Amino acid sequence: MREASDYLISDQIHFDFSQNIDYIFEEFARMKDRGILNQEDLSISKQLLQLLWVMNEVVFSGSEEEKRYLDDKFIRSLDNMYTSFNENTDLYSPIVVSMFSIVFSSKEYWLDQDLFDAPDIMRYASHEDFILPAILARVIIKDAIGFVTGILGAGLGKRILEGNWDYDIGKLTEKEALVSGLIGAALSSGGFLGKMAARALGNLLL
Amino acid sequence: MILSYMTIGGVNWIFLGVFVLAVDLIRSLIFDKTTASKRNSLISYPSLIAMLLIPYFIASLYLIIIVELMVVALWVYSIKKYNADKIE
Repeated sequence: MREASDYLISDQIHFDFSQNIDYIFEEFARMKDRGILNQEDLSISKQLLQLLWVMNEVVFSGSEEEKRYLDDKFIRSLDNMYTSFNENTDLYSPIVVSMFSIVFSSKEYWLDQDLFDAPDIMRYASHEDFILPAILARVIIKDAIGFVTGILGAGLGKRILEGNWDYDIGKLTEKEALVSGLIGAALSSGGFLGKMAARALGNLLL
Repeated sequence: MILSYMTIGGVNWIFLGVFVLAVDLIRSLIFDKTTASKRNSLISYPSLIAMLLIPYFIASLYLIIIVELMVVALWVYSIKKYNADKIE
């Protein structure tokens, strides 16, 4: 079975990130000069980029033991950084807050996948060297389950709130069922994007 | 209403069905000998319960048909995936 690092190596973004790290740092410094970022933004962004870059380099060239060791260290460092970031969120600009949310949300998502030993869709995809369809299929299956559970939850909630258990009345209308299904699907995709989508749907349609 | 026969003689047949399926799920989880059987039960019984409850919660017939088909598709997919896992 192939490992996660094999997929990373075949991905152009990791080459680009490895080769252009200096330009990325320069661009962040330029953003600070223009007043888009402040000093705290710059310092924590540099820490994060440095950490990601080190991990990226080890995935390219390190041994298997090195990768596993650094994998744990990387997760711990990321957690520490996120904890200190969360304590002073007000100090940072929205763009840095978004960047941290994306990194942390992705971390949680990939930890959930358990790429090395999972009886999961990821394994089948790994035989055929297509990782993207695997992720898409996983998202679709998760969303479909979320859609059904969203409808069941909303239906039960409506009946409890109205105290109406009669079969013929008190059901969800078509619009209510669709909205609750969509909210369930969005929530089941996980991460902050799913939560934002659910909030937007809730504000827009209910 | 098209499915109003579900409540006959004061008995709510939907809740009775859900109750029977839930009890059978518990029985399967406790008394089945193989993990494969328990895992199949964990996929199949909740799917059946969801299929039974969907007409109870949704008024639109089109949506009921779509969601029921979706549950059947998920059920088939999960069972096939699990059995493929087992063979590997």
